[in-house]
Amino acid sequence: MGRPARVRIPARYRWMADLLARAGATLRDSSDGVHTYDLGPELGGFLRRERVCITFRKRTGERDGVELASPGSWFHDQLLRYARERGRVAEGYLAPRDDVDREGLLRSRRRGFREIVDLRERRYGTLLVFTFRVSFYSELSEEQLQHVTFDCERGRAIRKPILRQLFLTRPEAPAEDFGAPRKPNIKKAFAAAWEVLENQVETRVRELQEKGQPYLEEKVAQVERYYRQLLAEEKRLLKSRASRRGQDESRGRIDLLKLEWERRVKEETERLKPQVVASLSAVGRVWVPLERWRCRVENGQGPETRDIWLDLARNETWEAPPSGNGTR
Amino acid sequence: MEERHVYQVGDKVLHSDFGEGLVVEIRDRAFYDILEVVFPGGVKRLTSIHPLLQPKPVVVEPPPPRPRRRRPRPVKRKGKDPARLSYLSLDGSAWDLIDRVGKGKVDPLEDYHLHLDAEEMVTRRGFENLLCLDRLSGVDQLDYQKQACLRVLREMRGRGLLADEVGLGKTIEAGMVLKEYMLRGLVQRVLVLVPASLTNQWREELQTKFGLDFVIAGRRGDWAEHDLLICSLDTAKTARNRHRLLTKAFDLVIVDEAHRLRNHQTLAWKFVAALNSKYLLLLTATPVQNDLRELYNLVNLLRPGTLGTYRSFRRRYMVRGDKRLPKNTAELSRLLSGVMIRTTRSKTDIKFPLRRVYIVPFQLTPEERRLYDAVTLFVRDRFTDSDRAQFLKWHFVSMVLQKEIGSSTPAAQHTLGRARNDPRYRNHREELNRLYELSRQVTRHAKLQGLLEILSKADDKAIIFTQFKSTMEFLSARLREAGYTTVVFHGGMPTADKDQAIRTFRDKVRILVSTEAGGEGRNLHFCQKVVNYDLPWNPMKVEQRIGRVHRLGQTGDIEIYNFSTENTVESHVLEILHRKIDMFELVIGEMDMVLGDFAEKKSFEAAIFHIWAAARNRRELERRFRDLGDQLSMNRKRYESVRSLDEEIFGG
Repeated sequence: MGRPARVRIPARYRWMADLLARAGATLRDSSDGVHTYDLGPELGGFLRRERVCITFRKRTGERDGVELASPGSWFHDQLLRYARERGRVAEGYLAPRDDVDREGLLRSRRRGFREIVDLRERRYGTLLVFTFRVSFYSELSEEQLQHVTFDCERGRAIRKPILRQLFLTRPEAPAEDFGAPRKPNIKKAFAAAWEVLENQVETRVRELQEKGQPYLEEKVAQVERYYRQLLAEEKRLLKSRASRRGQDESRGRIDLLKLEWERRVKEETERLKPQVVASLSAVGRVWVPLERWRCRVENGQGPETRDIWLDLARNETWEAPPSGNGTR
Repeated sequence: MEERHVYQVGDKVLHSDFGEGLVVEIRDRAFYDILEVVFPGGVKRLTSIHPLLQPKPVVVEPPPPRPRRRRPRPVKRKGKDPARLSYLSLDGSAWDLIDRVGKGKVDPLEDYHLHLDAEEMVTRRGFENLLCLDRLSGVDQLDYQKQACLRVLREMRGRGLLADEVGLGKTIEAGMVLKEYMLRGLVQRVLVLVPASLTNQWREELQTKFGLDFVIAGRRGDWAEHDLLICSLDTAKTARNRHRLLTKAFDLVIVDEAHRLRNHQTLAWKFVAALNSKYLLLLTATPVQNDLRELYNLVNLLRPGTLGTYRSFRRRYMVRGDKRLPKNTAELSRLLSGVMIRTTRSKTDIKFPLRRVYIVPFQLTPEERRLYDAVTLFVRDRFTDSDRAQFLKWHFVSMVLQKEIGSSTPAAQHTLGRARNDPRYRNHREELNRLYELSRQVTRHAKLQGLLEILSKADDKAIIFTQFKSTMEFLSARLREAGYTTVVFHGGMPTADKDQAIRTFRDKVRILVSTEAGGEGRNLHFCQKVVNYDLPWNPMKVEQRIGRVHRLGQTGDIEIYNFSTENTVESHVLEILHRKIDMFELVIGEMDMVLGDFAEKKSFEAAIFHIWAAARNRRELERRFRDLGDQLSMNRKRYESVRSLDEEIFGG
């Protein structure tokens, strides 16, 4: 599938044009800064109209029947919503690069590399890209989009995120001489990705807490000051009271105020603590071309053979453990 | 937030100083219990919320070790709680996505990239934008409402006083905050406390505008298990319900008409103060009614200490000798801005359309008059029956009958027809038969003729309101006979049919004949003419009728026709509402303020019926209606002085 045809509009609105084309809208007319689209059944149903005249110029947008489509406008927001409801799970192949220096890469992986023995296996491996939207709700609220990539072959999350451009240059079909990937354990992958996310969130929350500490302290101090004042007032009243009954009443009130003080401080601290909500926005499954090479290496006591995996799309290598084939 | 433990006699407890003890007696108090506990060192009396006291953990035999699960699952699937960080939660929809990946249900790659682009664009805007705006229906989304919502979320961190002037949509603002919190996964358990007369209206609005299904908490039922609750403040603070609600932890509590919490010594104030809730929204148009202390009390519910102790508040911000006059207003405003939002009409571009009110007087036809008087006599006889059992048996039926005869002959005829065949009313069968026969003799309907005349003068759309389905059907049939296109709308229709009826009215037909329930929460501002074919005795219902068309978004002037037939209950009600308190000039929402204590439950209706049915003669009847009118008139004046006081304090 190729990228949809682009219309002549400023580059920063290309996303919108791509989306309209992708959703089946057709550009009927484009003149005087007004672009008229027939929306087609799907997008038309979503927006509850068949045709739309949009413009990116504020003044033109004031005309009757012309919709302003710049970021922040109602129309733009609706398209964002449309896009966000779709395309949440996708998969694609990465193409093997032509310029891979296999021997150079294998040599750099293992000290004592002597020579390549043979090619043992050639197949696709799986990377899972989890995209999380993370909302931090605290004194300094913010939202982040976090991509966590899990390498199903190595069984761990990888630091280097998979580049969107790389994902875009995928071939339509797998290369012929590569075997099918093994079925990944998605739940295990998600668990590992979640752990990575937790670590990132923990770090960020610590930073936020440090930044928000003065605010929290101020609010708690306000509550404490209030109860301290109330207690002082009640204690003064207690001293001025002559009757036993009145004194008992004051003492009871003092006890209650102390309890309330504790409760309110706890509540305020709880309320002002950062809260984080993560939602899984999208999952991409990326198939990467892999080769497993058997190499002869020197380990200090003599030569031995080792298997090394080579990722032909990302120019990465890793060594398979002595037993097994290095995948999990 | 952790929930408070409810102790029972016989429970074992642990006290960090006194050791293990046994609860032997419990005394119920408003917000906690007093426990008498036997410790090894003697008997102690403690509050159930004492910090050093905790229930003794029940030791349970550990279950046999479970076989190791093959697949690790670090995040609870339904509980949404993460494995490690207490403050991090995962949106429940994640698992659907994981399932889709497992099943290989994929979207095209182009959509994936467009999705990620969209996510990045939205993320850049962060908390500047409101997620809820796309999910609201039938809400005008005015700029000041969005700003109020953002201020509550960002600056007030969920605890605030929404004190907009009447008619500017405090309910919408509160709904937006609620929806936003829910969409962001920060709120799950919600309690809405409202006056009893508004419970249904709130439920309807939250359902139709915000897509939230709330349950109304009554005196019975298992409502306490629901996460989204609406409860009248009076119901909530009863001993039984109070206990159930105070032991529950809420994420958000909304209190409508929060001026009812102005006195910190009332049970209502103490109850709200004791509620366990992270976020709290108080809604009132009149935060100060008599005394600045009322404002202090409201703020203290939200954030104790913001205004200091009352003694320091009085010293700093109140003019000595005048409890209504503030001083150091700049500083007070600064402090209040952290907890209170007040938008006035003058600060918005909102222009409410003009209302033109017409009272259309009628003389009943001789047959109608004969029937009306006979029914009234019958109702009065039942009302003054010295036999208590008879009185109770007839009270409701006779009130309905009196209302029906004020609405239309067919409405009363329907009830009379059923009652005369009902064995429960056999003692009065003869009278019922006579009344039924009288109703059959009515062939001309004075109000119907008047209605046809009004409709013939213009060809615009009109909503005809009636209280009774029988009247609705009668009118619909007669109007069709007269050549008008009509559609009916009543509470018994399924939601889809209701929506269809509104669409039909908007696009195809000229007249909507609707019962009270008609149109609640639905947008009818494409129509400018309202005919009150009959008049409810409850002014709140009259206000709701007008509110269907006289609302934000209405562009044309409104015409309201009130039908008034001489010497009927309705003519007296209209006299009070129109002439004494000028109700039809009030902005939607103000009637509640004017009614004061009458707004609760059905007390105004009950007062009307009592005056009508118990009056011994015409003079007494008129005197008692006059007294009621005077009382409401005073209420209105009082409300106006409160409104000007608030304008003075907070700026108009």
